[in-house]
Amino acid sequence: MAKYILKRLAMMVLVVLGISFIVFTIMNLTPGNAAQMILGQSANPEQVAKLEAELGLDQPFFARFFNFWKGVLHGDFGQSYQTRLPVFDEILARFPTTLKLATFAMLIATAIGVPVGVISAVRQYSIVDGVSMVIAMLFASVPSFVMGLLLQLEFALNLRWLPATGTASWQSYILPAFTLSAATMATLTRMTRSTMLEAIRQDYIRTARAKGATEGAVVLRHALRNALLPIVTVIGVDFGYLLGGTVVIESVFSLAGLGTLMITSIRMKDTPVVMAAVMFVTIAYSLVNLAVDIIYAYIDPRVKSQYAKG
Amino acid sequence: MKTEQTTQTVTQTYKKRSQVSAVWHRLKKNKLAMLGLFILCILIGLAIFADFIADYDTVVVGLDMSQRLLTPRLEHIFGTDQFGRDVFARIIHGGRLSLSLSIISMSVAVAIGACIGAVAGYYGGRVDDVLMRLMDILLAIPPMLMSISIVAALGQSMINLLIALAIAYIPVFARVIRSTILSIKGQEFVEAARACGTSNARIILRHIIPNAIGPIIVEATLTMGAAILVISSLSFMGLGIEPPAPEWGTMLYEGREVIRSSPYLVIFPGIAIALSVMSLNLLGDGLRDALDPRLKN
Repeated sequence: MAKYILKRLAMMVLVVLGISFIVFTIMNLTPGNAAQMILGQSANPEQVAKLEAELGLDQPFFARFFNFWKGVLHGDFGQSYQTRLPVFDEILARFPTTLKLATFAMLIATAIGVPVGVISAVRQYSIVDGVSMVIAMLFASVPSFVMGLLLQLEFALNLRWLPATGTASWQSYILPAFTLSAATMATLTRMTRSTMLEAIRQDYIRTARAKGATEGAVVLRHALRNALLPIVTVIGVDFGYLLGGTVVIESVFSLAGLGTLMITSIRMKDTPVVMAAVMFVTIAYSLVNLAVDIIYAYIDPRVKSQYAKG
Repeated sequence: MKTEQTTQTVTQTYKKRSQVSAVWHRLKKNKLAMLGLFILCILIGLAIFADFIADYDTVVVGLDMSQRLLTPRLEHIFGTDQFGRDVFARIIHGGRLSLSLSIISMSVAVAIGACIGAVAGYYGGRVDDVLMRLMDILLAIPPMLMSISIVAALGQSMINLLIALAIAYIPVFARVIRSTILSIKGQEFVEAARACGTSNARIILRHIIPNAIGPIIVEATLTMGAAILVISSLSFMGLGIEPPAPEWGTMLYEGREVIRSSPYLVIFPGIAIALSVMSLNLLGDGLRDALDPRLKN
């Protein structure tokens, strides 16, 4: 087991290095001179050259990449072009909002999606199954920002039940988290339903019934336990989409998370901030996937035994 | 000579049609997939003939302040926006933009992804390792963030949006094609082709890729839906297609300002996006089932 985790960790380091290299390369494609952009058009060439040297922008590409990583290992993601403050502080201040939003959304999606999927599979072709499949289809197709705008209009502006924007109280997370969860909830419901349908038809389910297990035990202990693997995979993969998707939701509900930071930074051409934010979110996503893979190995004895012997 | 050629073409079309028609036959039984295909055909039809339905310069981007914010009525079935532009006309022209952008970016991703996946799957070993690790890394960056970083670096434009989407979806296709190839490269007809002295490139192009077309079509249909969502989300945040272009996300961005008094400005473009994504999802799922060999007969 330790061997498996070590192998995944090694791969993770490789992926993180790769991601940072790709994002760094993309950001370096920016046309125009960064130093000129910081100082404004009125700056003279000497001032620009001085700042370039100060920021290390006059060095070759790989040297800059190396320096960037040296900084990252010391907790320094560079400084904002606009505010000249360290990027890392700003990101650390905003990351909790994004993480909370994505986590709440994942919890809502799992708490609703998995049970509904199980019920749909057990009562296949019933009214419950039909209705939940139609709702799942709608949730998968309606863009999150449209749903967010409409929920905001109805529940915050018209009914005044929940706050429309900001993060003043826990209630302000309800609408954004639910909106963000919709697409994942749909995927989870459909995934749970189809894997459960497959599991229910297996021989071991017939055996479980034959030995006199109650229906509840058959469904939960035998069928769901086996259907859990693909569900865990979906949860891991979709967490990345949730972290990416928060960008849009934050913009709809004006939450001060990484998403809104990215958007304002793009508008102000503040490349280091965008780069650091994208990297931060992507690395968080890779960590989640690593965790999912390890959990996966724990729930699937087949994966476990593969590494237990070797 | 001539007769021989004709016989050959006849057998070839016969063979091809028999497989395609078998899939089509199975797809036809799937009501949801047919609904998706039907909606998609209407949307594509409207997009193609958009210019005959409404003139771009006068109706779609031309301002008319005397016609501002009219609620849906006979002459403006979806109403007008705060600049007096007909919402229905804008949605139809917006469909042209969304559909063509998603088709182009998806095609580029398929072309590049197919080559990478084919080479990785066919040669295996070290080549496979290197290419697939690279794809894993690209796949680790969510499409939305990839698009955001490319737009941030290169600036906001339609071309950059296309590049961003294409790059984001390359690994998806590379993986699909690689796994298909791994499952067919050991089969007899590939062995036979190799025994005949066929070159690797020819085996990949003529024997392996045609067999991978089914899964590619399924993935392409679903990816188009996802791409439409990313395009409209970016435009909604003001990072995609800029006004006054009638992109659906851009329309939502503008409609948002007057959402309380005129919610239809948000609802109609929202329905347009949802319908196109839903039709592509339904069709993609249906195709996946129809192409599944386990369900044959």
